[in-house]
Amino acid sequence: MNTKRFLLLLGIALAMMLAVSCSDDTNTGPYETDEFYYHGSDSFKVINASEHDITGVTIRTWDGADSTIIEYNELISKKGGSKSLLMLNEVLPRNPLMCIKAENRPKLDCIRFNSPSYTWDGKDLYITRLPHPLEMEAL
Amino acid sequence: MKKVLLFVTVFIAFASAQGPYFDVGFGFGEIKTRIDGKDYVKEANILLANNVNDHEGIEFSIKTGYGPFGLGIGPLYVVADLGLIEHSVFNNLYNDDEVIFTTYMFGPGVILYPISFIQIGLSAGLSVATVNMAKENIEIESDLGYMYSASVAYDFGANLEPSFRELLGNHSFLFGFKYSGSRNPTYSGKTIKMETPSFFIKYAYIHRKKAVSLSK
Repeated sequence: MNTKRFLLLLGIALAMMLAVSCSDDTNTGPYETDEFYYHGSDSFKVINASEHDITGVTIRTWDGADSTIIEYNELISKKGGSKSLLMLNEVLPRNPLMCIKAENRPKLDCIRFNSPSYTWDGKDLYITRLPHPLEMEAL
Repeated sequence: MKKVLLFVTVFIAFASAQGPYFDVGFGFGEIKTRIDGKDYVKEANILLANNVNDHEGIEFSIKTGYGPFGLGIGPLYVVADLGLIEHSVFNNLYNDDEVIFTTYMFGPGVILYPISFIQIGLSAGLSVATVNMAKENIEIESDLGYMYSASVAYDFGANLEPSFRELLGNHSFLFGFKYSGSRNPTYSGKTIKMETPSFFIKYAYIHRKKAVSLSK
């Protein structure tokens, strides 16, 4: 009887260890890599988009809990502005992809946030660096 | 064995009228660099609100070869072509932010003179592209791809007065137009494609013995 109970407890312990290790794997999410890591903020801003043909911005991210992709869409309809075009006052989980939609472009151009091509001042994201040619993604 | 000896004998006899060909030069032109078919400068300008510019592309090449061989269409030289094209894209907002695309090319080619002073060059071969991001100190090398180039040039040394021509001997200068391109796959699955129409100037050493006799 003691042996059976021991084996049962051992089985439960192993199952728990397995479950924990599996949940660790799922927590990595679809976009997580070692290279790109989102620090977290409550606001994003894309500048100067209305001076050219950008018509919308999409942020795709993973919610960190059940691997669901959350998509934030913001259409830009006003022309002539040169400063703030997108403000998202929500706390975003890590590793978002930012996608920019422009006129006459069937696909979105996306790039991960903490790419060295972008400047992050702790609050706003400014596209001020040349994009990495091989990291621009079309989805 | 007999065939080999015959070939060597014919080649030596044939080659006695031939000599070396060499040219080296550079050109400038508007390079288009496309990543998966998209113009990088145009894409970057969308992201950076038209704050992106590119320098005029530079093209450099060396050709060494042998000839001329007479094939009834004018003197023909067989050459090995080694070259590069370079395209710098820079950010107007930051001086140190620059992306440099360079493609190194090598392959066989032919030089043809359909008219005594007009040179046509054709080459095709392999290429390797690199992407250098100066600010981040990143250099990426592509996988092996292919390249091609076609050029037409005016040969200043071929149309001189006899006294000048005697003075120059086989030395000459070329001025012409060249179109070259390359296509290289990368580790990320994206393809770097570069196209360069350019005007070039070259120094050339051209063994003309056969060519002169043919043109007369």
